[in-house]
Amino acid sequence: MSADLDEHTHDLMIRFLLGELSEAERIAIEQRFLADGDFFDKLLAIESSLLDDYLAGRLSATQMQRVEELFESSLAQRRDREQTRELIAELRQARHEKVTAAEPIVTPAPTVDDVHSRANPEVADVPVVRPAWNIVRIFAWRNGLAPTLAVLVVLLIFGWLVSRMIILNSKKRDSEQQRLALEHGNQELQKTLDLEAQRNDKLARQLEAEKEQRARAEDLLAQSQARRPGEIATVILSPIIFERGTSPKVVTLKPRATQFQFLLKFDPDQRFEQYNLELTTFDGARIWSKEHVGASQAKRGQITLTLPASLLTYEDYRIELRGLSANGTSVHVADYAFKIRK
Amino acid sequence: MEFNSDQREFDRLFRLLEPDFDSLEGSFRRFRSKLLKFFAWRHCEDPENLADDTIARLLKNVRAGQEISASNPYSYVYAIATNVFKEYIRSKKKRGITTDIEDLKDLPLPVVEPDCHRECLAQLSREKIELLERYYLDDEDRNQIAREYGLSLNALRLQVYRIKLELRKCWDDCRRRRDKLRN
Repeated sequence: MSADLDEHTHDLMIRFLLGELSEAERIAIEQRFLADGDFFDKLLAIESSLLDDYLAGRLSATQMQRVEELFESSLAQRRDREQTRELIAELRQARHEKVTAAEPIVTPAPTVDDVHSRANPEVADVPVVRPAWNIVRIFAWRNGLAPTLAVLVVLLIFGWLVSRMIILNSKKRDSEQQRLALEHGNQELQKTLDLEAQRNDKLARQLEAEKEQRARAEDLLAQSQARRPGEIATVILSPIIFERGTSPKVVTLKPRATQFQFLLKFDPDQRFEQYNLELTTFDGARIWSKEHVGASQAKRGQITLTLPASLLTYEDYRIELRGLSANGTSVHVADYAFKIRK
Repeated sequence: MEFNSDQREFDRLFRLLEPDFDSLEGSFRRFRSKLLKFFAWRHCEDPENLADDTIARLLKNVRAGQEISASNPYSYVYAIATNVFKEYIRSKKKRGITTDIEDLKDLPLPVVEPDCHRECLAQLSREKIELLERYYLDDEDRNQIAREYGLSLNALRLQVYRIKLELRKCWDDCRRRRDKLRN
């Protein structure tokens, strides 16, 4: 999985999490993170990073407030925030314990080297220390302290300069490579986004066309299969009104078919974007339901509903048709009734 | 319509939604986590309940014969989740409930004991601990840290996020073990 993210997408994600996107932009991001696992992971990482910046006080006042709202909105979000806080505290504590537990370095007391002092009587006894320092000490004793220090300083400066040059060159190369990679990544991502947008439009159009074709095919199938006795029983049901004290006329079915196809008639002026269907007994027991039936399947004031005969037993049944308005309200459209007598 | 192949249907459904996972459990967890974040990022008070409600409706509709498009399975999930969200908002308005953030602050959070923190941190590799220390404790520019690790800034964020996930899982396991011992 590529972890690269172009600036535009990164900015969109931040604004999404802070609730700063338009409705259409927000829907696009939501649909994308549901369908695209990589995108979802990146969004989670951005959210985590936003929380880190919030806890470190690195955000603007407006951003701080929005992030606080985000992480106060539910128990789950608060838990994430508190766990990150506790992690930082634990890291701090662990580091502090490491530092205080470090023991000071104790240099062992030097011992006299009798041979050395005998060989160079004019030189005071040279204490024998760790082997690593011998060269420096001998040089210092032979040539004096000042030149020794000067040489050491020169060597240190030289070493430092060389290492700085190497690091700078390496950083320069890395920066250049990253910049090129980022540019390339940006272009690729833009192309991908454009292609996806085109594909989405095309898919939406195809879906609509397929739904219409399916509705037409179902109608044709109903007509042809009705000629074959014993397989599908087609029943036309008209809306019925249940009123106290009346016995509405109800269709009685004695099926030998394996499937029932109900053609539910309703007022064609009652048009909705989506419909819900629910099949219950007269006692109110729910047998079956279907939601989000599209308007393309409800044509000319008729919806076709196919059910297996095995679903229905010796009972009185009711079908309720409800429409979903644009603001999400569910509206009663019609009731239908039938009896099964096997 | 058959009702005797639920398990196979669910398996097929979740593998369609999350094909990158080897097990049904893995696919389901990933799917649920997406829904959880969908509701959390819409500032719902109880995103877990709403996510579970969405899953229940999806399964019911699939069992009732609803076909899910293989090319874009999440479009149907999105429609259900949006409806669940709308009903949640309507229900809140109807009951006259307004959520005050101050009220949520009083709700107790599950506690992770300090020992669990320590234990889980100790289980991380030295490199991961060093990364976390530099990221959280040192006042370094994060771009600089990323460069030194040979990463882009976003890759660094992803790395830190994954380490946090690893710790979170460890904390949950540790807490469960200790709860069991107490009980």
